Amino acid sequence: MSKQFQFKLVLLGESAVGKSSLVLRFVKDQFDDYRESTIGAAFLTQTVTLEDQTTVKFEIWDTAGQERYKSLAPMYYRNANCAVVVYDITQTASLEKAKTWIRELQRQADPSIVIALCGNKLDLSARRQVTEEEASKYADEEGLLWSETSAKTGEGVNAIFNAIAKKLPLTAPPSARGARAAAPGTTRQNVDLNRQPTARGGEACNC
Amino acid sequence: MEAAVQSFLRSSEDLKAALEVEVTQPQEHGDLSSSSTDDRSRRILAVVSHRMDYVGGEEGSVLILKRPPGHSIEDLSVEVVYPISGSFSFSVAQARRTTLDLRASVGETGATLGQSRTELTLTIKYELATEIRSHTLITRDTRKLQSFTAECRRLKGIFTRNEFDADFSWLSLYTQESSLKSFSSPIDLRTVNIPLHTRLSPASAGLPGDDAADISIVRENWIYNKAVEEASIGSSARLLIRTGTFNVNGKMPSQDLSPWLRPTKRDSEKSGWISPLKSISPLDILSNPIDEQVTSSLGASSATLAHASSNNNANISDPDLLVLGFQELDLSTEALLYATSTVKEDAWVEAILAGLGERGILYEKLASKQLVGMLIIAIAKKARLSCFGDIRFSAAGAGIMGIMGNKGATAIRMSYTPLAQEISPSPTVLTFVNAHLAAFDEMVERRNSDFHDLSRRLVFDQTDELDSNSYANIASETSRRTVGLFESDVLFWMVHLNYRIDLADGDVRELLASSPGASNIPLLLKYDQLKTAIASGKAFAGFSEHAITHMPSYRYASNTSEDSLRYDRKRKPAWTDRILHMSAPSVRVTQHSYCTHPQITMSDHRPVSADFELNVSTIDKQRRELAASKLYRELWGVEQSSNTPKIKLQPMTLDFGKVYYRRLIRQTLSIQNDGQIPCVYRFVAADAEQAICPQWLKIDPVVGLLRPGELSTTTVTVFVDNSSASRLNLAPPRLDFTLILHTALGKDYFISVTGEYQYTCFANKLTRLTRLPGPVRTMKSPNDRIHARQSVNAPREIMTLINWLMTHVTDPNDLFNGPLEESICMNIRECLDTGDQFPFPQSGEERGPLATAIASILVQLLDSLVDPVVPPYLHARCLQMTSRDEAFELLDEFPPESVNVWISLTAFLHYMALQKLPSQSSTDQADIAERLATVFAPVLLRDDSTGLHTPVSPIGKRKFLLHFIG
Repeated sequence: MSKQFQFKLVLLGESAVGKSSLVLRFVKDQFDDYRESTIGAAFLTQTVTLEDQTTVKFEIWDTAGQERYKSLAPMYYRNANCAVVVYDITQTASLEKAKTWIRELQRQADPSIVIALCGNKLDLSARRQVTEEEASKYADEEGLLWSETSAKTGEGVNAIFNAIAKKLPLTAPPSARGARAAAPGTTRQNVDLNRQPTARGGEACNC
Repeated sequence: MEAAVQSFLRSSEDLKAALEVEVTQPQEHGDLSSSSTDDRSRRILAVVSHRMDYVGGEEGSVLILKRPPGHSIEDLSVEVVYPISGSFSFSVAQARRTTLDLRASVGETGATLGQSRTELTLTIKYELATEIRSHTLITRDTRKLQSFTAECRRLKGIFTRNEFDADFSWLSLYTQESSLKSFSSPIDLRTVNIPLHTRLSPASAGLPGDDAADISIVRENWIYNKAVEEASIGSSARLLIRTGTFNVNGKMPSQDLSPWLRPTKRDSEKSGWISPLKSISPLDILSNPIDEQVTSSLGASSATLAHASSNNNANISDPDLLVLGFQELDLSTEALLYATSTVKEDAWVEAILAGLGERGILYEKLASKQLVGMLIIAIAKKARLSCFGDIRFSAAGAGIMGIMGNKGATAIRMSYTPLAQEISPSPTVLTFVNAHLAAFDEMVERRNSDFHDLSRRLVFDQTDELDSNSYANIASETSRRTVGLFESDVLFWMVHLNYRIDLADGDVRELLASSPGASNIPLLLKYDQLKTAIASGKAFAGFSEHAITHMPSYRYASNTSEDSLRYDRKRKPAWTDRILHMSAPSVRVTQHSYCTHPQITMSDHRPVSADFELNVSTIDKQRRELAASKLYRELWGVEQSSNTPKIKLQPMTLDFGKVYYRRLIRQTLSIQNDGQIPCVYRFVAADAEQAICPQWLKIDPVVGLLRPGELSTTTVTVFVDNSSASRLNLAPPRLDFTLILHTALGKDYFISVTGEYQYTCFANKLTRLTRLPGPVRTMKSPNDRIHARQSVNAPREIMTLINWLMTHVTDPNDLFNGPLEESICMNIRECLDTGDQFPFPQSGEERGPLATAIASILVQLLDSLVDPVVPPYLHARCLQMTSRDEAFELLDEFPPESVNVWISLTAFLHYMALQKLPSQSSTDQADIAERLATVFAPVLLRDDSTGLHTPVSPIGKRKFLLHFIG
């Protein structure tokens, strides 16, 4: 049987860079042109399968980008195994903000955290303000994964999550501290075969 | 029929075939001939399939459905579920002759044109490793039986082919109805009375806890309440209960018991007596209204005194039920060993009926239970006798070796079912405990542990009330189980608890004897061991006790060694005899009286009585169960859904504007479920170590469940009490907090709460007040202060209040007697903070209310100080001072700012005590000083809240203050 891993991933970045859209594309392969600003934190899961049949399940926390909720971000990135810090390639200021987030993560998050820097809105490259060279150079210096994506077209989205999955330490199961308690809905396809006949049967006349 | 069954099923299940059948007894239990053939044996047999969209599979099950006689076809419930798996099989045969004969009488109703008259028996079998379960059913509908059997074969075929994917978890929805057993006896009172959110898994932002488990707790609770609400027929039944407790000290009845037994108007008036100082007591003024609101919504403080005159009629009408607890009925040593004689019990029953006088003929003994010296007797009105049933007894010893019955408890549990037409109302379970716990002051820990021990050991046998329609239950053995004390709707303890007062003997007697009569009772109760145990949760947690306004019931002397109040000089007086209760939110309990009866002097204790009025809303039992199963089906499987919950919040930001000390502001937040599935939500803290919201903010409710489209309103309240103010006064004025609303298995939503805190002079340290550059509201930053050398002698706010009182008050009674108006108080607090002038009484206007308000603000301000005026480390020293001179010398050891406050304040109090009273006043001069000391001493020498310094005698504190003002 193939190996299964579970990791906590957090999305950070300035408001309106497309964090929620990126997750929506990754999890449901959908895109909304008009998304309301996230006021809170959304929880989603998605599983990716690597070439060696290892599956990596991401438990994703998509956080609010607005400055006023900044103080709550540490609650969501604590115990995270990986972080995707998003900027908008058409807004120079959003890269500066991303750098601030990266510095905070390097200082306060789990030291083994895998950080990916992600330049979103590649479909708007005509209005580009952040060059590929500038961002990739910064990522190299800081030892981050880097790529550009378009949540709208889907370009590069799966690739960046795959790259994270490959970089995560897949030798030992991640610490369960950050992992959300598994809900029945997430395990319904994994039936405990040994339990089934007696347990279910026992309920038969138990009304 | 098919339509009714399909509508009964959830949308994820399809009805494949249904037919009407009659049940016989299962084969392992006797033969078929004993079965009856009325409505009760009719069932609907259905085969349903569950589509598993996510794997493209299908699972089947056979359901046997029934409906209560007389109900419509929509009111179905599941009797048995058989999953169509490898263990499932069935067979069809011609019905046996004996059965056919029995069928004949109802032949016409079942047979329709075109159907065969042949009767067929269908046997369904389910083979488990350890046993075989089976059902035998009879039908005449061969056509439908054919489609039934065809579907079963098809579904079994599917199962056999994909055996390893089988799950059948969807069936739990239909079998989960067994959890409705919670209706068969009340939920434990200790569970229903704690806030729901405290039962949920620990969770905080980003760490949601066990959402699936939380959903099931919230859903269970919601369905229970909703089903009760839907089944309530809108009327309620009133039950009057008089309870009593009496330690008879081995005596036989020798006096008329009527004062104890018969409610009089006087009883309730006595209980309603309010201390004239109560309105100015800092304890009352400073209680936090939010906390009160929270407790009352929990039903924990449901005991309220009915003052309304309309209720007085209720007080004096005859109770429907009298329940009396006696202790020390028999003090002989033989009683410990044999205790079988009922001679004493009979004598007391006779005395009770005699004591009821001409009303005695209306009553009859309902039940009694004796354990050595403890006896509990229930006497009911003959006319209401039929309302009481299912009477159970329990007894447990807690005396020598933990089992002997010289101490312990006896208890009676009964169900009360109001009379109702056409419906069968749900009964209310009443439990009464008579207990006698360990004696002596120092045995308090033993009493606390006895309480827990008895709570556990007092259990009642219960034969589950079986639904006679259900043949499945007849088949099983009569299920017997025990129910605990707390599985009641209302639980009363009428007890001789032996809890004492933790004060010196002399203090207790002096406080009891001082005038005006009984005015020190509230103070004494602060030292009551039972009150302390309840407050700390060590014993009787969650119980309510009506305010005590009567004198201690123990111990009266029967000889010459009595004090002026007739208490025994050898035993410290105490409220050893108490009546407490705890009730479920579904029952409204009103207490009309709580008093002792000093006329009955035969024992060293005085009997205590309490009148209760119970209002029980009438619930249709059957309707409740049907509503609950319907709601279960509607809400089941939320955690399995592929949809995520969605809610809409309005507004997203709550701006409270200017936030003032002790001014409550309330706003509402609406939460609407605009998703596809039911949603469970809860507010969570940002961090596990933090609270959901800061102390100055409260939200109610903290947890909720909304069906799609439903909307709920959450109240968000801001209230700054002393403890919050002491922190906010030192912080920047901007209030900013984010509430986190977590939807189970969904998002976290953020709601911003903002406000502008207005600094106040209340809840500061004296040293800070003396170094404020001006009125507190003029400060530019919380760090604004003048140099220590320039500090004022005493806080100008305290001096302003004292100066006003010195200038305007001529009659000291004005300090206490006026009505206390919150609007005036608020105005005065504002003047202190801004430096504005106090309002002046208009000419011709009563000066009383303003004087009373300013006096009470002075007490509030002193009481709000972070540290009391006299530091706790000096309290013991203060009490050692025996003269005025010694007391003045001690002032040298006070901190400088305390000395100045102390001198100014005592000078004012001394001046007040010297004021010439108006000639018509009934109080004398000494009383005024005493009264001022009573109010100010506990505030100036406030007990240390950290527990570092042992509290000192309240009488001693007064005496120390009286050295300065007397």
